Amino acid sequence: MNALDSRFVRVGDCFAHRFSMPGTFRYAVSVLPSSFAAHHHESSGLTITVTPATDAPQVTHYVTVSAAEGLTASPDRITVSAGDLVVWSPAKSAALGFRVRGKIAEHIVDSGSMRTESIYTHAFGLAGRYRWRDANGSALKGEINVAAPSDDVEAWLECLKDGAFVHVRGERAEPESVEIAVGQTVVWAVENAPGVTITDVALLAHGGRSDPDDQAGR
Amino acid sequence: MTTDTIAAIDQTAANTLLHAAESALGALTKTGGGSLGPFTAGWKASASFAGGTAALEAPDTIAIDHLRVNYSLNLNVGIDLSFLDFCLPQVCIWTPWGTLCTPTICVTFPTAISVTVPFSTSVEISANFGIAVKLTGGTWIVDVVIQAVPTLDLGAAATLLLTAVGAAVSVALLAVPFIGPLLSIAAAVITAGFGIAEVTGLLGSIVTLFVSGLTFKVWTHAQTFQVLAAAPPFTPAVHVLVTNVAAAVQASTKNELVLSVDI
Repeated sequence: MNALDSRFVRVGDCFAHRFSMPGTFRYAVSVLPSSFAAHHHESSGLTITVTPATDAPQVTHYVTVSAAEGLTASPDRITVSAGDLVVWSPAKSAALGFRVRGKIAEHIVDSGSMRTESIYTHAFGLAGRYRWRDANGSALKGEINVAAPSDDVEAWLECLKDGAFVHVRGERAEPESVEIAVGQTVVWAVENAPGVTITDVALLAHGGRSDPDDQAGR
Repeated sequence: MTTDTIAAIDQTAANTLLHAAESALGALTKTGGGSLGPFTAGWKASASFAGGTAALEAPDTIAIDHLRVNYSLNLNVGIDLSFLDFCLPQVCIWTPWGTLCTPTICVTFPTAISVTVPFSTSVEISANFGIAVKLTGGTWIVDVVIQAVPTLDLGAAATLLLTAVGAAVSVALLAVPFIGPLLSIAAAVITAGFGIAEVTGLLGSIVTLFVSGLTFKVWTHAQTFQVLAAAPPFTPAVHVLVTNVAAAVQASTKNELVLSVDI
């Protein structure tokens, strides 16, 4: 529960993407970190129609993913303008998390392999030092230090409105290290990356890479 | 009608019998459930008995002092943390592609966090036991049976158990996501939920289950037993049938546990 792993968007997480070009994004949500979900025109019925940009301000659209007999996204079809953001987040029922994967024109949008204009957010529930890296094997890595705040609950609730930002460009994260308090959210914006994840090294065998530095991690 | 066989033992022998009976009884186990204030408590307990000094008191009472009840239990406390449910506020943050606002995320805490607390200790009891004779499945049995559950001094044990529960709950809570800053609130609510009185009550109900009806089997004998082997072809085996057994504490020059057997 509350694991840091963009391959499984769980309660406390979001995946977002900015659709900058018109077209139709056909996608699926899956509990599996596989590529089956959207190869690529199967009838999952989930679509985002992106119309040409207008002069209207950017809009953020929200899609909630629930689990019943399978995963469902609500709304299942939306129309957005080029430049809008779409945010997927899980309902409580989607405890196992989900992966968003689909294609618009020749571009793949995948929460389990983020390339560009993709955003992953995670609220940290437990104090500790979290070393993260790309489970898909690139050199991307970073660290989040989550402090246990004082018992001043009002002050703590107030600080939750402030998130921390990490900009991923290619295989580098800036900043590489972030300090937050329990309950705060870190937002990773992924740009021009080779298809990366944000994954706690503790979830990866041997830290995901043969980097001795990571063997001493969490 | 006269009694065919009479056997008597004095207090020293009675103590030997008692200690042998304690060993033979072994460990008893019981499971059950109860409550600790507003929280549920399931448990599995075992108890054994050791020591004690038996005094024969006519008529028909064996007073046992300082009988040690060694007991251990695995206490499982279920705690509902849903009173801590809260929502993470919306976070709005700049990104290269516009400001992203996350949806409000409501965090629900477990409604049944389960904490297992192993606990072992002992308590001494002093009580009067009666004598009961019965014929069961072809075997005569003489039991000494507790007559009333004595007052149990569980104060020290309850304090230890309360401390152990508190420590176990604290460890379990630390593993619950998002609870960190709410930990002191959770701890305050939980510790206000039950105290020494509730723990003593739970402990008392568990120990009483072992002590109530406590029975030590001090003598057994087959109702029918062979005294002469068969000598074929003319002489069959000779068996004796025990028709009655009586047991009592009798006062003569000293108090004795007297066993009377009719055949």
